Amino acid sequence: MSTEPWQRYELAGPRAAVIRKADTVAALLRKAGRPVIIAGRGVAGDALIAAILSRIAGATGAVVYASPAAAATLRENGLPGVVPMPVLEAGARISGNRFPAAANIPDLVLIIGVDPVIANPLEEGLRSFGPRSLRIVALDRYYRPHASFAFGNIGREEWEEQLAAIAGEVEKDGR
Amino acid sequence: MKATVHIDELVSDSVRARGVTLRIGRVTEPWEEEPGPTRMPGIAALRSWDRALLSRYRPFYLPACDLCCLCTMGKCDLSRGKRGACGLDMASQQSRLVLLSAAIGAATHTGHTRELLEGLKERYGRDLRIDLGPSVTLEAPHIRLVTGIRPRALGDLEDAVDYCEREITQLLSCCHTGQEGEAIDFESKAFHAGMVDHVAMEAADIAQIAAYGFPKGDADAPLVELGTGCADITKPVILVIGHNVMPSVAIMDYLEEQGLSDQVELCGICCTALDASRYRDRARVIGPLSHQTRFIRSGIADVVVIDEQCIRTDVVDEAARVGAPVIATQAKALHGLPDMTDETVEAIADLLSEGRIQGAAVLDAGKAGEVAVRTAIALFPKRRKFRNLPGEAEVQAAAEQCLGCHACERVCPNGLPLSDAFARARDGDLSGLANLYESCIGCARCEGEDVCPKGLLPHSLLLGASARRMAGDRFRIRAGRGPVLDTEIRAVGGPIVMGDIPGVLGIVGCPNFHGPWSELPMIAEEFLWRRYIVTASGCAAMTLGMYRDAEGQGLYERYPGSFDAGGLVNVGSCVSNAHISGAAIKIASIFARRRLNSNYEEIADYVHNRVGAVGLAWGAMSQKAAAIAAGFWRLGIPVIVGPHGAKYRRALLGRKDIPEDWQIFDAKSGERVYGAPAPEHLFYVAETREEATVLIPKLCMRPSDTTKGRSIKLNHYIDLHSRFFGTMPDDLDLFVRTAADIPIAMKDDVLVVLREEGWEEDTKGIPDPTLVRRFVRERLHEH
Repeated sequence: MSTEPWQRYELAGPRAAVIRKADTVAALLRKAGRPVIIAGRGVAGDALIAAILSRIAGATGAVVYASPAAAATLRENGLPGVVPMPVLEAGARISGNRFPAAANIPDLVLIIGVDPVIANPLEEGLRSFGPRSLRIVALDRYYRPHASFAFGNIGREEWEEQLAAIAGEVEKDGR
Repeated sequence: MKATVHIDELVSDSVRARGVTLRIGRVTEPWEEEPGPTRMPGIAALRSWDRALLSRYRPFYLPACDLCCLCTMGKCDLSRGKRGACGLDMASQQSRLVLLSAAIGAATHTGHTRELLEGLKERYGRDLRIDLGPSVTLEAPHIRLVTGIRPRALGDLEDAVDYCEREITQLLSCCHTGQEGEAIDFESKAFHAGMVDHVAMEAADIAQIAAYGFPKGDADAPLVELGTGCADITKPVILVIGHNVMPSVAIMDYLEEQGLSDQVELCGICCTALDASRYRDRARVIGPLSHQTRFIRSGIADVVVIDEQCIRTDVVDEAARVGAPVIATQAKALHGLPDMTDETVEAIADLLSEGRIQGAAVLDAGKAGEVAVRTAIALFPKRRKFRNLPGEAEVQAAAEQCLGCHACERVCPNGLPLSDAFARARDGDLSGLANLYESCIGCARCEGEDVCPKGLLPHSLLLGASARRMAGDRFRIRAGRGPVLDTEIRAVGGPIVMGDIPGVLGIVGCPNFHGPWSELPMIAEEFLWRRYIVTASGCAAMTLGMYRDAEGQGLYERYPGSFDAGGLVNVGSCVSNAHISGAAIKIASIFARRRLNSNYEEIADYVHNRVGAVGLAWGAMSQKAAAIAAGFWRLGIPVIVGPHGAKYRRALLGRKDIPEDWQIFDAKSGERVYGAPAPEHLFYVAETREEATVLIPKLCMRPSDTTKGRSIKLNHYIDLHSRFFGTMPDDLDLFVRTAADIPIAMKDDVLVVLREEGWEEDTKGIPDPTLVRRFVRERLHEH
């Protein structure tokens, strides 16, 4: 599992820790008070991934913001409550420090289906300007250094297995 | 205008003189309109206006790097709330980089303008009239608005360019360590750079229109050849690259003088090509800047002439690979070539055509033109055409060596699936590689040292697989028409402000697309048939032409070039962008009769609240594009960029869910009222073509829309949202003010959505909107 950034990006602080087991993400979800999922265009048309995300959201109560094309796929695959919202707008809301009440401030964001061209600066934006307690998990299958946790560069099959395992873990909790 | 006064004899109490000659360097003719409050505004003069905009559209910073490396106290890690050794935080550092980028862009256009203006004054004289034709009396909306100058002759542009140079110096100084320190103040200065940029661009374009006789707002400007396949390879071919048309004009003049126009091909890449085609319609436009490497490698060009901006910095090496010499013509881009300006034309042409030097700098446009022609004619018989790219058998053989390691994909800015394409090519199917042709931006990073462990050259292999496509790519583009006519503004000003014409879409910028280039014409066509006004410039204007329908017709052949509903208006090169923003200013001045002279804030307030215009820079890459966008922002015109635009380091996003952000003043009553998030964002990065397409009609909504206008705009927004995303928009309650706003054919469906959201009719009526309290008082007096 390679952990070189799929494309070159620079950062000073520690790079994202590599997700080697589904347990890692499941533990983060268990601990999170207000998890959020941002799903980008990569989820559009990918029924398998959409169904897994629906399971994760269903089990954890995570709010799912999805770019409009991805929202349609998520809706069709078991997530009627998805909030259609372009990914940067979702990022801006999380980092904008303009929440109506402290209870609404997210403490965990899972990002998936976002092209690295946007995902890297988005994750750095969240890292720099998001709530201090925010943990950022990149769930795409290419390593993204600006997140707090990210998969290494892995194949599609392994990636699907890992995501399904995360869903299975959180479903076991019955949260 | 200059003046000379001769006095035979002068007698006064203190002086007695004979034969006195007075030379007055500049006489400024007064302009009948009273000046407003901001003549030649300094860097902080419009701060309050910028802050009004930036309090609605707050920056969301997207750092590309945690570090600041600009002074020797660093490197400083600014991540997670840390500050640098100078005290700067991450937000301020990102906004400093935004300013730096915009200032570089503005400096580049201003440097170009200075060069062009001096050259044109030398050739045509500073008294040459700026005549843009009988239908353009408002020849320079930006210059008049910002500097208070009404330019009548080339020499009158000097003060405007002086102003730009002064402001850019001040702006750059703000980037110094320990200077500006707060993010929003940096942002305001970036807006200032953008405003200055549009002044400089306008000066450049009206100067070259007046001097070179480019089309003057001609909707029927000629259709010219476009594409890699449009060069006649049976003739010597000269390729010009860049933005400053002076050397291209010199080449064409020399060819005409020598009777060689039909015997030598002049082709161009990037804006210099567009401007060359405005001078003579036989000039060929090869394509946008992404076509440089591929066209040079094709070997078609016998000589490469470069001027300035957006030239690949490895151009000399690339040209050397195919035995084509390079002639540098501007001091800004010498590329290590020896300065041979003082040598004779014959001597330089001999050295180049005999291959004794790879290239030469010839910093005299006339001489460079002559050298280029002579060299191309001498070299032509020695060079092979179109055989420098690998043949299909070579591509297949190379593909057999590919290890499938994905190294080439990882350095590709677009992450193109080259490994999969090579796997198919191994079996003799080259279509996988050929299909990547449009999505490849031609950077050749995949061929960098040590990228491919087998030493393969993926870009050349991709071109080899696409050779037939390259040879067959022939399209047509309407030559840049320059300004929008006053008569056109009078005809469409009302329908735009009322909303009957649902919007003006300005498609601008570079070809750094994240997907195939056909995405851009698809977006354009969506709005052309919906009867928006679509304007275009620069590389984006070329890309719009590189697309044909089933009947083989391109957009420029199918849509008229008039500034009217359903018109596709190519204004010209990068510097012609000023005509697009200038059209919005003209609406405020000509249609609404708002004072123009030195009155920026009022005009921008008008444009922001009433003119439903939006910019789209789908492949924006350069600092110039950043400056152009900043000029639109200061006028309150939203800009959408493609995915790579995230690397401009921030978005300016509105929060439609926070009603307080959308309070405006109603100048009729003086009350603060809710104006709706219209437009919702000021700078937006779209992930997909579909997202951008749906956003465009939404960003064309304005608080002043009439019910009919709002209904038309909502119709397009709902229709596109339903088509691309399969649902009704979830924010209609924010834009429907009364039931009359709802498109009739959609009324039942929309009312269902509105009831779910608890929508109530707004009974206050359509406001006379302004963001500036001062204008309430002034407008109340008028009422």
